[in-house]
Amino acid sequence: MTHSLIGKFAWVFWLLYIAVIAPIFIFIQINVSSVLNESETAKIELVTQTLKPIISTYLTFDQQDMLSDTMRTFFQNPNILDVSLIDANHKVIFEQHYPHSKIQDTTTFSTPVIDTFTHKVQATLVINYSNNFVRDLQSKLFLQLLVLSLFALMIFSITYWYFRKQFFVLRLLSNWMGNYSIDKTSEPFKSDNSNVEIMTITSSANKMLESIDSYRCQMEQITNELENRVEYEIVKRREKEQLLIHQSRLAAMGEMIENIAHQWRQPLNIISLAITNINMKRTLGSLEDDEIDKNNAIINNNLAFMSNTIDDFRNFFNMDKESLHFDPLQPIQEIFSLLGEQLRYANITYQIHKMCDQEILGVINEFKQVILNIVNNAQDAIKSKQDQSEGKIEITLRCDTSHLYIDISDTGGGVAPEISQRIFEPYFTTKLHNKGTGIGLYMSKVIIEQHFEGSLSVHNTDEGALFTLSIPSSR
Amino acid sequence: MKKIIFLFFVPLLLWGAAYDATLLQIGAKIFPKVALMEKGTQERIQSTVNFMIVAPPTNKESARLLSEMIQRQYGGLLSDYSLTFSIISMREALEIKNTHGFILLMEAEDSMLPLLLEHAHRNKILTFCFDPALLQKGADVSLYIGRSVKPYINLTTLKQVPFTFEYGFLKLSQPY
Repeated sequence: MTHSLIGKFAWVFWLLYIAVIAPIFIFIQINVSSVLNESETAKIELVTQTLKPIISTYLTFDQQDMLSDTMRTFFQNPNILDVSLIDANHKVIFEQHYPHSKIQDTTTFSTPVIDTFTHKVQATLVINYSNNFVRDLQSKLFLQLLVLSLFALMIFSITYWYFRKQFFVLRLLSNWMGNYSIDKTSEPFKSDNSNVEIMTITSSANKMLESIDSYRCQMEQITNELENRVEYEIVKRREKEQLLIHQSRLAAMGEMIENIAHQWRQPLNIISLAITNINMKRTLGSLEDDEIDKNNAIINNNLAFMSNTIDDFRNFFNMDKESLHFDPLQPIQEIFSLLGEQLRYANITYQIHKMCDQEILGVINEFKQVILNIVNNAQDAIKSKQDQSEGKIEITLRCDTSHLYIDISDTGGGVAPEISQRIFEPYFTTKLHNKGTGIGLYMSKVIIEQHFEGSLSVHNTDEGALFTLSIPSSR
Repeated sequence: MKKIIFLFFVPLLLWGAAYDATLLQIGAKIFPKVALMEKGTQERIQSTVNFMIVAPPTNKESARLLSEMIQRQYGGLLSDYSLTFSIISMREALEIKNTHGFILLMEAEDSMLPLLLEHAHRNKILTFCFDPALLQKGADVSLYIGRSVKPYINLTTLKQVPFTFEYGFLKLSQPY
């Protein structure tokens, strides 16, 4: 089945034609022929009933000539083929055949002629008639329908040809629209078809494509603007991130400086005591070379310790961004080495449990920054807890087949449920008196998720908070 | 041939006092039916069709013969009606008004014939006869015996009375 408009037109035309003609034909074939047959029979019966009294009279008076004349009047009906009159003794009184050439099937109609005075059957009138005229009518009708069909076919063909020609421009328009590309400007569709409908369609198509071209230009402009804006926003975001990182590093640096101050207090005291001892013994005149060497050794050892502390500080803040496979235990220990004095001063103990031996991939200093942020937060939480004089920080390294998990727990009382969803937001802090910047945990989460492709989450334990770093194992 | 000769002589026989049996037989068959073909007569019939055979004493035998023939022909029934016949004289006929037909078995020169015919027409009684001469005098229906039997009708009297016959009868009748 075709799906073209012209094809559908053809289907609809012929379906409608058949829908109209077929019932008419069937109606005429069945009903009209039946009615005509009945009508013919009724007509013959009527004529017979009319002529029977006359025939009876002629039979009564034995008027053969007039009887014959009367009987011949039946043949005025061209459908009557034979007429005969047979008396009660089966003797033929009258018989005549009308030589119709085309009559084939006949129907016999017989009726008794009864003497109205004696009620005796005088004779039997037998009429053979044909309904060929009905068939003739049907044949004529069929012929006329055939002519009508041929005429309809001719009209249809002309109409089909005309509309196909008129609609051909639509196919050209379709091809033109099919070849249209959004990426390039097309020439308007041109047609010499002067039909209003076709002109309307082509005009609409041209207007539509003009609109599309216009929109395309606008879209290109908007896209360019958006690209510029996105690029600008990315730069701005990078700058903001850099600023945050810088702020974070500055904050860490401040904390590290405090740690260094704690670290240096002890060796400075020792150096001070050694120098005081030398000066005092020199004043007393009891300074000997051994004493000098001994104090020099003490001073050199403590200066070396202080120098190492500076190296650790410098290592922590160097700008090396190289990703390496590393064992996380080493940087964790280095962080605790830096914080050791401060933790001891705050009466906080720590424990590191290593339950597996896997490496992770990333920038070591960024990892250290994360550990430092979390441990500092734990230290602050423990310090801020009024009802306890000591605290504990515990770090556990555990693994599964694909990830390394670092659990950092403290006894600082935990994160309040109402802020547990916000502690990783930038600039969110619970520390008073400008002690917190609110970017430590945010940067930690960013580093773990974006640079280590892991996750950072927090839960509360019975004693405090439990931060869990989940980092994919590299080896 | 014999039949033609016989038919040729029938009028001559009718002219005589005695009526031929064949002729009477034809009359017996036809006259009652013709009476019923007249509209007025048919309407006057209640339960019995009553015919009077009017004959002088010389034709009493023919009248009796005719009566028997009619009886044999119809068996006393004519179209659901009883059919009765009486043989009467002319004087008696002049007294009878309620009958449906007079079958005249008399001569045309009979002096009482005009009175009888006038009486019949006045009372709308059909008159039948076998002699065309009676038709000339005013009888209504007679018989013509030719190649076939044909009724003769007196159009003048039929119009005058008037009598109204069926189309078929009028078509086959010979007008006088």
